[in-house]
Amino acid sequence: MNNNYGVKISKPGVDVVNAGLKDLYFHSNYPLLKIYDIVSGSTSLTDGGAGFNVQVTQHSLGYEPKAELWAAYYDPFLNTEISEYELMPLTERSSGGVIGMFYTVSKDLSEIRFLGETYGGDSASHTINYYCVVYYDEDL
Amino acid sequence: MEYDYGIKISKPGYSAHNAEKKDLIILSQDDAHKVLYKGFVTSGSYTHNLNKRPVFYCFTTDSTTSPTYFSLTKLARSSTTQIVNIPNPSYLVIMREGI
Repeated sequence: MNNNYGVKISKPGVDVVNAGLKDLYFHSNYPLLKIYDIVSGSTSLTDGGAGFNVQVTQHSLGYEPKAELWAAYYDPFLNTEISEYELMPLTERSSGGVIGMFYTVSKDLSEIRFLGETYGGDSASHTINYYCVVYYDEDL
Repeated sequence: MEYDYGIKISKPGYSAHNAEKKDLIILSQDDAHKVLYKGFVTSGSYTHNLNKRPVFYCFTTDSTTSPTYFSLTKLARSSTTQIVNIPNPSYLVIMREGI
């Protein structure tokens, strides 16, 4: 340990005094990612339209927190609504250079927003489902 | 504190008494990730049966025995029972937390 004090918890069968990091359940020199909130929701998307800009969640942290978002989206190339959830953001372009999907996550001092749009699909309306994990840590 | 018991450890230079949560190493009253599974996957899917969609990370690699790189992939997808569409081979990390 860097300091002469702290807390270490080792895995069963491992001596905490000599254990390497991989054999520790906890080491107080290494911060845990503390979870502020886990939220889920949905929004609608019209392929070829203006896209969406939805507020995923508000927070009162006063700084830009680390956050991760998974979404079940509409794939215009396959013309399919993907039922499972992928880690965002996701950007794909067709071989012709046309934007197919473009998703970004924006964060600031009080809210997290999810932006997205698709082109080249069926021009129909689709439901976009998502879940988002917000951490107390700053997104440095 | 919501309760008058628990564990708080602050980062160096901060007081555990009044530090913001972001400046704490651990706060026992808030959740943190707990690992459900970590390991190589070569079958294209992994059944977690959590009955919720978990936080997960999938890294493609070139070998399960002597890997030379790990690259975060966004191809893998979650459902309430499985992680699917996992490139072969990959290194998968699934947390117990999700929704």
